[in-house]
Amino acid sequence: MIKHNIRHEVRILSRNHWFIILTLVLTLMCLYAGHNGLRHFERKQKDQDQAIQRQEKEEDNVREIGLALQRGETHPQSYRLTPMTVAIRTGRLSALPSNDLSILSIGQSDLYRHQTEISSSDNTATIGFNELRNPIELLFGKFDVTFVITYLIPLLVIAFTYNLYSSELESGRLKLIASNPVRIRSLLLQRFSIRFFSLALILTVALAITILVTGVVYNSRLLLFFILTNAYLVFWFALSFLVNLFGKSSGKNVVSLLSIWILLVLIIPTAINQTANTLYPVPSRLLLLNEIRETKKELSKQQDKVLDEYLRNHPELISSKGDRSYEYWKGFFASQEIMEKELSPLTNEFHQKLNGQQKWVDNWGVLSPAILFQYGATQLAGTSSDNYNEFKKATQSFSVEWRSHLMPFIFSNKSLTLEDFENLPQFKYESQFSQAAISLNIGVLLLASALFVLIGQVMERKRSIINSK
Amino acid sequence: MLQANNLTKEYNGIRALDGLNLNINSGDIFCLLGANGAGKSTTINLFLNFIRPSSGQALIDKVDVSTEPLKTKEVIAYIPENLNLYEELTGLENLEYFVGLSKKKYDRTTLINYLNEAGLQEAAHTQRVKAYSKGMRQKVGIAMAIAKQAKALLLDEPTSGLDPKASNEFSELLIKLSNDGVATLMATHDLFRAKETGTHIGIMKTGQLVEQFSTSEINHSDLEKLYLNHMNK
Repeated sequence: MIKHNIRHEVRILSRNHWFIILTLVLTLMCLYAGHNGLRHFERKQKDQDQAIQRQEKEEDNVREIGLALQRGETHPQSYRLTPMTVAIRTGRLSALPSNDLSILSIGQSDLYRHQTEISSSDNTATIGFNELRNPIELLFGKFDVTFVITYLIPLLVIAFTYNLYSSELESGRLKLIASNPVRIRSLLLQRFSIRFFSLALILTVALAITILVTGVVYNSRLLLFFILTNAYLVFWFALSFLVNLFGKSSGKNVVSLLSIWILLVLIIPTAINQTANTLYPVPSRLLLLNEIRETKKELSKQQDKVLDEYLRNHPELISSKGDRSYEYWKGFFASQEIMEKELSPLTNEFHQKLNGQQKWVDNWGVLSPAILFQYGATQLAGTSSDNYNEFKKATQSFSVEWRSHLMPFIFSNKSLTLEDFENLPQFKYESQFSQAAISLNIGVLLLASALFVLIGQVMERKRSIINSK
Repeated sequence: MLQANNLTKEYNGIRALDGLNLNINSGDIFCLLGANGAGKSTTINLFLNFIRPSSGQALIDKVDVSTEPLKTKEVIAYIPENLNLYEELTGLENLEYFVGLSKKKYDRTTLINYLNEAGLQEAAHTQRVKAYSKGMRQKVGIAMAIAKQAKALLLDEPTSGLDPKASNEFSELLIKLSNDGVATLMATHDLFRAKETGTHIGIMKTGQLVEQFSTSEINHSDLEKLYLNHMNK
């Protein structure tokens, strides 16, 4: 029977001009979205490559000077090995490794930094990531493949399924079908399944072409992306199946499905976002920057006092010779840590509010399949808020490590040797993605779909086909 | 073949069908006459198990349609007033699909033979149904019944809206099927067609079968008088 129905559905779909046109439109949209993603990825990659090259050049210069000094030669730029210069000028680069899946899912990558120059001259690495954006707000961002799937695929599903049952009922064909030894609910489920596989196949081909053209590498992440996409597709098919069985006419079905689409894809994410902003209002960034400036100004006025206080907390840095040269730089570096401590209530509140918002979105995101899909896709692409938060934490932690490592050199008035230079801490970061979270999202989408089908099956048993013509 | 035993259907306390007793043997063409709302379509819907009886039984080949609907549907064919087929498919493709639902599979040549047997012109077989007239659609319905090898045929005003020629052709096909032993229950408003085609006639009024007789027992004018007499009561 399934073969019989497949043949029938293929015949019907192949003679539906709209289906053919929209299949072509879908392929073109995927290609255009892939092109957008590739352009963004290449630009981002170029920026990062340039930053890495600059950093490598800087480090090579210092290495050359170190080598010259090691050979006993003099070098006009020998000051480049002083700890202050290494800390401030050479610095380090924290770079978020690129994931080519971000071609398909730009996510937050058009807002957050992918590399940060870690220097002890300012606190960019510490407070420079404070974009106060909520991920849901950004759903309307770039036109990438994830956008096409999140927003447009449900509309395609609605277009090709809204009347799958009701048109049979309205035309009276359902009575003709039901006069045969078949169970209507099984037949309907088969028809929905066949349409699902047809659309899944078309989408897979469109995505495969896009992937081929844009050069995304096939790996386990990409496989998970396909599974997630199909789970999202199943959700919309199951929802349409349920509405078909609840709905009394094709007109009502299409209105119901579009209303549900607006609710699940637009209203709920916006409501979650707005609620997060209301419940966890983030302090003004302007206030934070003003506070930083004021604190800096205050601390520079009391440089000696600051250094005294700092050395009281770090007695290991006091020179054994009792040499306590109150140079500018010592005071400057000491004030960095003190300033962080003084600002910590404000920055902590800032981060707590951001985390609160994120947790709120994570908890309530389950109400919207669009959030579940978008979160999973950006996680896989390494472009979710979580990914950038992890990178931010690693950068901040490295910034502290960098300063702590160089502080003893600064306070001992000692220049770095080539060996010291080579032994400076290196920033290492491996982008992680939460497979458990993605699997959970897939699970929720499939569970909801199973529930819709089950309710639909029960509904069909109670439904009479007698109101057909 | 088709049997109704005290068959009753109530909708919100209103009796649409009131204790119908009926027995249609193989080869019989039983025409149900009556005004709108008399219970003709309700009777057919009960035999098709589209609705459940409030009491009584509808039996097809001695099997209760309520308890074994799939089994009874294997031996029946149904043609409604408007046979809505898939417009984008051809007559042949529609026949293939609907016959396939009854788990019968035929090759293309056999299906073409069935369409020929139902009187559908060969040129129309591969034409999309959206270009078909109502008569042509009804012929596809007959082809379905033949291909399904139905033992019983349930027809709900099948000739309504057909021109006299198409209506006559349809009647001839029914008689042919009747000669092959198919039992037919046909709800109709067409007194002339009922007399010409049927072997038996039943007159229904407000859910009750008020009169039942063989078509050989009555002529056209008496049938009309009898019918109007019942309707005016």
